[in-house]
Amino acid sequence: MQNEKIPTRQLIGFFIVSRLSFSISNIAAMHVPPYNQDQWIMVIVSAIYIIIASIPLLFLANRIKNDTVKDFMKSLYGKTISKILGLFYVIYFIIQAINILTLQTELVTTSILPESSNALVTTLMIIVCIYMTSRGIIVIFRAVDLFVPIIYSFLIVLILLGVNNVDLSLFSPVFVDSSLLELNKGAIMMASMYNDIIVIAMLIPELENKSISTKAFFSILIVNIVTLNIIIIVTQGALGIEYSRHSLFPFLIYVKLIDVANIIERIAAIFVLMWLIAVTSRINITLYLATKIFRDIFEKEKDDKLMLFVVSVIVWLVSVAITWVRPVVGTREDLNSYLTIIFVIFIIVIPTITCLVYFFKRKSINKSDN
Amino acid sequence: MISKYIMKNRVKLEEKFNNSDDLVLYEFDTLGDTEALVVYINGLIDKKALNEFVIKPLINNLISVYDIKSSIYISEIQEIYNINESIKAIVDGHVVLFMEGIETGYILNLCRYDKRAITESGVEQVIRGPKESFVEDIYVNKSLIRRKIRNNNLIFEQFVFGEQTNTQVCIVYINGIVNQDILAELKARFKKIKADAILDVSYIEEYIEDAPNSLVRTAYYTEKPDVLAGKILEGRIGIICDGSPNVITVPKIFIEDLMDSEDYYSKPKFASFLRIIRYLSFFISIFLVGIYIAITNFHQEMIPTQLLITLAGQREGVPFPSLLEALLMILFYEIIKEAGLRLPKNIGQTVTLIGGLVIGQAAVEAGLVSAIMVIVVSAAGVSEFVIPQLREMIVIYRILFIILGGLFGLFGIFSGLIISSFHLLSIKSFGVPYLFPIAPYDKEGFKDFLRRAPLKKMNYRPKYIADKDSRKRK
Amino acid sequence: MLIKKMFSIMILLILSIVLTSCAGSREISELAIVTATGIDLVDGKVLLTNEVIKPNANPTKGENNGTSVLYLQHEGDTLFDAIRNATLTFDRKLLYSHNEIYIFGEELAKRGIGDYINFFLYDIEPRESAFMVVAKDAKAYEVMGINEGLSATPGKYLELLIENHKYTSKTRSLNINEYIKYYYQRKTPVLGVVNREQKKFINHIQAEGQSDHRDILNVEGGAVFFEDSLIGYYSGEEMIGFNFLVDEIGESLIVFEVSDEFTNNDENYIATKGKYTVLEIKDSKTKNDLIVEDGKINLTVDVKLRGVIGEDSKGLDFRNLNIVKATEEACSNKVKEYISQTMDKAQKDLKVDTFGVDTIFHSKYPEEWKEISNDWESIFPEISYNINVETFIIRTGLLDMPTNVEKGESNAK
Repeated sequence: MQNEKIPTRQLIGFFIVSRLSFSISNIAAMHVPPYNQDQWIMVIVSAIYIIIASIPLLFLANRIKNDTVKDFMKSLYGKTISKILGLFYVIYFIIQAINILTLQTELVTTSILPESSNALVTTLMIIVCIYMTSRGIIVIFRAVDLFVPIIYSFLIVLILLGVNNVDLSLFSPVFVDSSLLELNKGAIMMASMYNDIIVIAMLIPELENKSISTKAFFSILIVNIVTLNIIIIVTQGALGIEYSRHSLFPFLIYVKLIDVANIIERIAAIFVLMWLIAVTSRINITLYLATKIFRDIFEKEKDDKLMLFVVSVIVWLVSVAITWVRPVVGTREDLNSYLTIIFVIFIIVIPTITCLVYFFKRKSINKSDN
Repeated sequence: MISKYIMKNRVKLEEKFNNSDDLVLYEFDTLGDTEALVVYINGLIDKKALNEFVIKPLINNLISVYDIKSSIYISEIQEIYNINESIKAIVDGHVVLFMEGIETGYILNLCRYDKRAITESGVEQVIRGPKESFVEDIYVNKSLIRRKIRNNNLIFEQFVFGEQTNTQVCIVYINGIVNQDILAELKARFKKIKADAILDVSYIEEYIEDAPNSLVRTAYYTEKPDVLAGKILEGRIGIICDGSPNVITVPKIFIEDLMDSEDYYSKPKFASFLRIIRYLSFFISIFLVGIYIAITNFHQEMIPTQLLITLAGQREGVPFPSLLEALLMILFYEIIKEAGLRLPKNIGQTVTLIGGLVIGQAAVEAGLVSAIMVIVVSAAGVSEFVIPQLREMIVIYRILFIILGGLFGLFGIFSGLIISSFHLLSIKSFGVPYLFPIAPYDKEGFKDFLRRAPLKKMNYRPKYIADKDSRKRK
Repeated sequence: MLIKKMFSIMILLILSIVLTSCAGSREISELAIVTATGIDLVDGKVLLTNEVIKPNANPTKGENNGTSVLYLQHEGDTLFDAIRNATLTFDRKLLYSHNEIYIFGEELAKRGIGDYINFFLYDIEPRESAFMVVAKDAKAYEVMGINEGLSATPGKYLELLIENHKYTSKTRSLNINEYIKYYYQRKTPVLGVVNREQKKFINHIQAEGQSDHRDILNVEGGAVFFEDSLIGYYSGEEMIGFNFLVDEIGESLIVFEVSDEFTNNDENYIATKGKYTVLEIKDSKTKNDLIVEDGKINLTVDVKLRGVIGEDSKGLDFRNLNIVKATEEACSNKVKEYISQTMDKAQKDLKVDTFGVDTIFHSKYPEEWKEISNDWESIFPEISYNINVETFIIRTGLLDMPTNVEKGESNAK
């Protein structure tokens, strides 16, 4: 049991939950074109773009089977360039962590702790996440077996309790008010937020079954799209198209509307807790990967805690600074365009270059292996 | 070395025992005029048997010193050649026999000392099922286990720990079912024990446990032979310690504390119901007060309107903030509980009664605490008694969650919950994840988790714990 | 390691001590629970009236006429401003999360409420499921504080009156979320109405000097909004038609007349002969459909309702299937009458589409909708409609004929 690996079940469960952190909070899919009752079609279309965007990394993921990411990059680029690239990815993961941590802070402070300061909530959350991440990747993934059933059963119960508020007539006419151009525009914006593939690729050395990555990616994608669509449909059906578009946390309002026999009512706090579990998984994995690459760059021990503190403190300071001066969720459209640029660089451009380098150097690498 | 001359041996032993009062050295002559010396400690042996089956035949029949074994009527005789071995045997309660002219001593097993009778277990009481429990004596305990599992693969391995106490410790397992990796790991940990004294089996636990800083135990305690037999049959290793009526088994997983031997003696569906009750009590006893504090101080919208109006009426005029109120109540509750536990039975009841009355009714009427707080705290307190094994964890965690809930509301409860569950997730007992079979998930393990499946359906022994190839039935 | 641990514990302790006050814990005894809110407009300022629960420390020993309440009034430029201004004169902070009802004064409703109800959505505390009603011909505070029911508070009394809408369908319950949900699409919400009325006080042990009339509340009718301002009212009967049109009819009654030819001969009557038969609706489904023919829009309303005969004063013999059919027919005609009454009112009087006909048009003729969506208000009064109602009597209660008809072989057909 010393060299425990991550079973496929936990891998898939982890990404299903961690994607929920976006799809039930500030449902990004409602804030992209076509802004009408056809959002669910757009989500399905976005799957195509997600697959296209993920091809380079998926290809690389299938090549790293017997290697660590670090050695693989080193064999392609040499020591210095691979370290610089590693640093870039550390920054990428830190940005991701900040992104979700600030979102978390804003949801918690507006919903369950309206009178506490942003800094307090951010601090508490980062302390929790440091503890969780310090337990190691195996424990983070083992927690999936415990939390996925809880989160998903809660989600299903919440959806079912509120389903009598849903008015499906709001969804007609289907695919008339929106043009194909708008749909595609929204789908591309959606796809640019789906960065699970980079995490899967980075985790390949830790997996029990290393050849699973393609299959896992597709099953994760399908479950995520279906879940997201169910959430979009019930939320839009309960809140109306326009209100859900302008509501910052539409599913929160959906849960707020639940009222069963005047006993189970206003259970938004429970929803927030459930969502927070999903959020911590997201923050954990970004913190973990940033730390891991950092350790590789500075050639530290595998369970060196210092790097984790360095990464976490950076994330913490920047998040506190951001939430201190400006709203995060309401002004996301600007932020999303920056995130899209970052996405294109880190998920498409760099991996594509790496693929090309791999093709050129393949022969020499194979020779040195033999 | 044992000397030819009895006198020398005698002097040496007297010297070693510092003329201790209870050491008996008795010299006599046999029929063949050989001098003999029996040494033992008063009170540890069966004197009647010594007189009847050792001294009488020796005096009446023994002619040659080489016929000793054929003249005395004892089933367990061991020859020794070293005086130190004889000291150990005497301390253990054996009789040592020296004869003039030979350099051999004989250890005669005539142990008989006063011990507690086998009684019903005081802690693990059952309505249905075996009622006998272990006693302090290791030999009786071993015999109790043997009677449960009549199998030549049942193996006892003896160890002695404690520089001063020389306590006998015994591990018991079934060959073929036990996981050899865990057995090797346990023996390796035994090798590292450097103990001064072993007074109870919990000393052993402290030396071998996986999570010394945690509030949860990584060894399972039982007093009942049938429970131990069940654990051994699942591939666990039992550790018996002389002088302790408790037996521990390793590896231990969290859900064992929420099981009960009676689950297997009741109807499966009813047993499953009881288990769900137990899990509910576990969560109620830890979280109820904390969640109450969190909701009334932070999330008033979650309380149904009518209840909130009642609550507001009750809180009116209570001087303390509710966080302080809860902590005070818990403090007094713990004091009453401790007082009731430690006192003799008849006084204990009075204390609990008076304490309960004062804190419950009088405090509410005096307006010091709100009635609902008394209800919440006592509901949490009662739930705790459903699972006495987890008391250590529940008491401390409950206070932590009250503080977290009072400071940060449900967000605080969430942080505590996440951190404590990650703590449990990261623990391993002898390589077995502590929250098995929940995380990592195991389908077969789930048959004996929240629900107790019928015995016919449970065909596998627990994964990780038992040997991989062993099955209950094919 | 030890130093690290101590350091982190220290940090945690300091944080928890320093930040306790910032975490925003609020004891229940520091809050005032609001159970009803009236919103009026006075001289351009918002006048807010709150009904607040007065906590009763000894509920068992207290008087048993329900929970006691207080009324607060405060002004401000906006709703939130007014709520905060309340703390200038009232010692506790108002807790809005249990407020189930918002009453809008008629003056404010006529001016428009859209800019004020934002507060309910910006803040996490107010419920989206709180009901909105209009105080007819009154200020909001004038209808507050009346409790002639068995509820603990006047707010609860009014809330339960609104929740009773399903028994008569002569009123409507609309909460904030439903208002917002359809606001962008239909632009013509219909809110509930509350009236203050006088009722004779029936109590024989009447105290000296007590008036023999008491105020009660009546929620019959509906308030029609266009965009966000009040333009008129539906009466109770018109609300039945309205509820049929928007398919929100509850377990309400249809009182109708069956023509005389189906009743027994007069000599069989042993008691007074009445006029009406009553059907209790158990289940109803309305389907609206639109057809555009030669540039004319025709609305078809299909109603299918299932009901139980609850009362019959006319003496109908339900053993006879023809009579049952005739009863169904008569009931259908009555429903048609209700619906066309409401349609006429909407088309000729109010001239707004309160039934969501535009959304049907939108989903059926999306291309044409883009052209006409801006002047739907001028098109709606012109559309023609036809109504088809099918009634099914699924039970006749415990009797097969009423008691005012003579029994005997001669009547059995």
